[in-house]
Amino acid sequence: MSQIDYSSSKYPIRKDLSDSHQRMLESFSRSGTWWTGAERRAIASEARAARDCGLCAERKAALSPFALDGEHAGPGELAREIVDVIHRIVTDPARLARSWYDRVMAQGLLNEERYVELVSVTVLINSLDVFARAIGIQPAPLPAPTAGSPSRERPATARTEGAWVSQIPAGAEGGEDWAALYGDRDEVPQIGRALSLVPAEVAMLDALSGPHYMNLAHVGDPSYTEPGRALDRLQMELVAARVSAINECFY
Amino acid sequence: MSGAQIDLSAVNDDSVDSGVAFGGELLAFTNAVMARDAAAIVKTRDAVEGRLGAEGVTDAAAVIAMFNVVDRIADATGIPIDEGFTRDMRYAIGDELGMGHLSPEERAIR
Repeated sequence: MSQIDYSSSKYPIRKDLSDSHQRMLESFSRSGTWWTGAERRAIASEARAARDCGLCAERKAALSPFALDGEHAGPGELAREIVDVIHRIVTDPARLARSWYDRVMAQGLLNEERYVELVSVTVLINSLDVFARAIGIQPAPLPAPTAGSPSRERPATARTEGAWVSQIPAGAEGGEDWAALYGDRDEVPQIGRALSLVPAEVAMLDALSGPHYMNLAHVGDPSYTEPGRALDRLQMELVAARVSAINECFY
Repeated sequence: MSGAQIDLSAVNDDSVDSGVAFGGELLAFTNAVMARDAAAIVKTRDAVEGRLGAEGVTDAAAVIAMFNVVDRIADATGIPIDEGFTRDMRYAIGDELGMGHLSPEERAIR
């Protein structure tokens, strides 16, 4: 099994942080809810390659992200249309639009459950590599895929609300599905609900949030900072805001 | 928050002092990581370490990594802005930063 190894880093990596990265790394090659371990690993491999894709660079510079067609640079283990989705999420996320999402669904290669899980794997491997780049170490190799079948369990209460994808409705309407993910909380920020069609991916996001930033339950309290951090809340928010500005993300 | 005065325009303008302690060093490091500029990463990382210690580098790297997750999830799932105070705050900040053209409502009908 491939291991996260920060021993060569000159910067001290908190155990909660390295543990969350190990959990993430292992998840990329393990069977998920809608994709097998081999497929999840292929998604992660493709997402990793997208950063150096020439077609993506050309598209990013183009007036319209849909004006250019071509072949993406990458391992290409997945269907061409799915590869395109992965590359767009990594390299040009701010120009994704509802009409694009509808076209992706109309292609029939992805349903919304598989799409949500693909989004999760894609963005998580990207973040792992961003962290490695920031502290000056090589990205961890992906583990070999493990056997197993996707559970294919869709939350019974999931429905379309304000997002493009279905979500578990808040509070009592979400019933046991909501309680299993969010306990007795009445409200959860949209970012904490975005992946709720695939609860295992919400659990992963939740596990990452605390070590990287703060537990999602505390985000609404502007005076809160996780104990033991070298950055105060203002410093963290300044960095976060700059990242979002560069990514052109309104949220 | 802490009662400190901060200038939000610093988020989009490196010539503005944010008013956040060592904000300039943190923003320069963030820019370098996002641009994948290896030389600039080393230089700006050293500057952050000089001001905030090695742990400061780790924590800044973690926040950069996390918001690359948050932003992409938001963009790829088309979630709306949360209601209530958070909505007002997000739109006010978005307007100040000149990001109104990226509102979720507009992306939803594009």
